[in-house]
Amino acid sequence: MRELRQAGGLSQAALGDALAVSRQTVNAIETGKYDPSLPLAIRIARYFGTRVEEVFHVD
Amino acid sequence: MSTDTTTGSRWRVPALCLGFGLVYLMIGAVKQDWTLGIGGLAIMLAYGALLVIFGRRNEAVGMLGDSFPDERRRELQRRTAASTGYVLVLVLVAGSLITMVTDSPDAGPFAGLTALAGATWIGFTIWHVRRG
Repeated sequence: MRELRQAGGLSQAALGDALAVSRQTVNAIETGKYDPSLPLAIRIARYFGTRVEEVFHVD
Repeated sequence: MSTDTTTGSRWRVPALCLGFGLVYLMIGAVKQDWTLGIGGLAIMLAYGALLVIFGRRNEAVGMLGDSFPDERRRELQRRTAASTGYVLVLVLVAGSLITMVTDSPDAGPFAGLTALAGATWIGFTIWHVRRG
């Protein structure tokens, strides 16, 4: 997710605003400390115009 | 602008702190115990001020102040509540056993509170299982 965000020139706070989550939550997702819920994962994927499995990897 | 806090939620807990502080002050006035009254008010005001001043800089302080509960923070709050509950149940069970062994006059209240904790645990287990 970090790569997609940085490619779009977005800060964590800006992405957090767009997804209606806090900046710290964006950071926690990017660092792998927090796995987003399915609805949030779908929202993230839709925001970047891609699919969930292309943003998040199980391994 | 980051949506770390919303105006309404940012002031809710500090306002509650002020309310509790005033309750302490009233109890202190009624009991003529100004250490309780003024001390209680001062502690609650200091806690409320801490939430307002550092709530935007520190996530944990912000969460204590009920700021912007997104899904991760709600999950963290659930874990915090569960951990607090585990500690309280542990204290009640240990206290109940110790007061029972030592024939303490507090054995009755401890046993009652432990029974209440057990009944609550069972009740909420059933409630949450039924809700899925």
